[in-house]
Amino acid sequence: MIFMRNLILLILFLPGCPLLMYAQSSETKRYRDQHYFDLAVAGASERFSTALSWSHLHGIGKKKQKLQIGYGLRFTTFVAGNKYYTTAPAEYTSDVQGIGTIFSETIEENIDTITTATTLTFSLNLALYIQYTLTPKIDVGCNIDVIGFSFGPTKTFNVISSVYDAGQAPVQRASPTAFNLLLTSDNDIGSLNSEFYARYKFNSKFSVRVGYAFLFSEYETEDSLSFDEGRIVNDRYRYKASMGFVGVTFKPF
Amino acid sequence: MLFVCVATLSLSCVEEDTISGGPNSSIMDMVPENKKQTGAGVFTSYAHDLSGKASLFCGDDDNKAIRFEDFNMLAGPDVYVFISKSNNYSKANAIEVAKLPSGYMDSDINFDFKSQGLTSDHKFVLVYCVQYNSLFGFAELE
Repeated sequence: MIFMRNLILLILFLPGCPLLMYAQSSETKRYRDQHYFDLAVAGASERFSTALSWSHLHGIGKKKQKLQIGYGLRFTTFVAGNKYYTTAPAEYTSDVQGIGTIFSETIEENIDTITTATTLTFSLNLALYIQYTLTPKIDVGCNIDVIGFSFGPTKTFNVISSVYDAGQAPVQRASPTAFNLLLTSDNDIGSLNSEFYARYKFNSKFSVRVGYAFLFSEYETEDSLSFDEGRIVNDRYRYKASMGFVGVTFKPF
Repeated sequence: MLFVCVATLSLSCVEEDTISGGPNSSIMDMVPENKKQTGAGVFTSYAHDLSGKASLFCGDDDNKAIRFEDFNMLAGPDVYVFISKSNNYSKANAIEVAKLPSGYMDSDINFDFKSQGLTSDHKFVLVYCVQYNSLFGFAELE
C-alpha cells in the first residue's frame, strides 16, 4: 500500500516537470486542456468514502498528447467503523526520517492505538494528476492529494495501548487533524487521498473509472498522550484505508 | 449524490453509547463468604450510564471474587468485566473475570474467578465492550 502511494509520487515528480514542457500550438490547445468533474465512491469492510473532484489536465507533446498531467481539487468524505488508529508521526514509527522513511521498517514497539466506534472526516485538498491515453476509449492514471485541510466531528476514543502511562484518562476526545500535507510515507500530515485507475470513455463527455484508492485518515487528540513512561508523547493517530472504487466523470469541454 | 450523503450521515450517527436495549436485571448477591476485602473503588463512568462500586475479595486459596454494589448499567453487546493493571483496556494487561449478559439496576453481584496471573499490579476493574472497543467505566481498587 505504501509502495503504491510512493510510486505515485515518483511518477508525478520525475525530473524536468512536464508541466513546463507543452508546446503552444493553437490547433491542439482545445484538445490539450481537459477539465474533469468526477464523483468516486470507494469501499471495503467497514470503511467507505466519497470523493468529489475537479481536475484540469494538460496534454504533453506536440501531436497526440497521450500523456496528460495536471492539478485539481478533491473533496473527500471518509467513514469508518471500529478501526484502529495508530501512532502517526514518522519520528516514532520509523528509525529513518525524511524521504528515507519510504524504505524503512515500522518500529512496532513504538506503535500505540486508539479506537472508536465510527470516524468521519471531511477533507478538501489540492491534488496532482497524471494520465495516459492507452486507446481512444481507455485511459490509465493516478492522482494524489498534496495539501489542504480537514474537518469533522469530535469523537471519543478508547486508548488500548499496554504501555499507556498512569494518571491519564483511558478515554480521550479527538478531532480530524486540521492541516493536510503530503511529505512521503509516515511523514505525511493529516488526511490525504490517492488513486490508481483505469477510465473507459463512453463518449467525449462521459466516462467511468475503476481502480484502487489509498487514503490516510488522521485524528488529533485534545491532549498529548504519554506512553512507556514518557518515552513517547503523541497526539496524532492515523488509519490507512485501502479500497476499491468506481467513479463517473463528466468532461464538459 | 443524495444517496451518498444520506449513507454518509447515517453511518456517522452510529455511536456505541446509543447501542442499548435488552432487559435489566436486579441481582442481590450476599457478600462473599470466607474471603476478605482487599480493595475497593467507585466507578468512573464513560458510557451506558454505568455506576456503582467494585471490590476485590481474596481468600486463602486461588479463588477470588469481584463484587459490584449498587451497580447500574444499560445493556450492551459483548460486555465483560476485567481486572487490569491500568485504567485502559489492553489484552496484555487485563484478565477476564466475567461476561455481563444484560443491563443491571441497583444490583449487588459477585463474580468468582481464578487468580491465575493476578498480581498486586492489577488494581483496576474495567467494564468493557470488546466488540466495539468501548470502555463503559473503570474503578480503581484502593
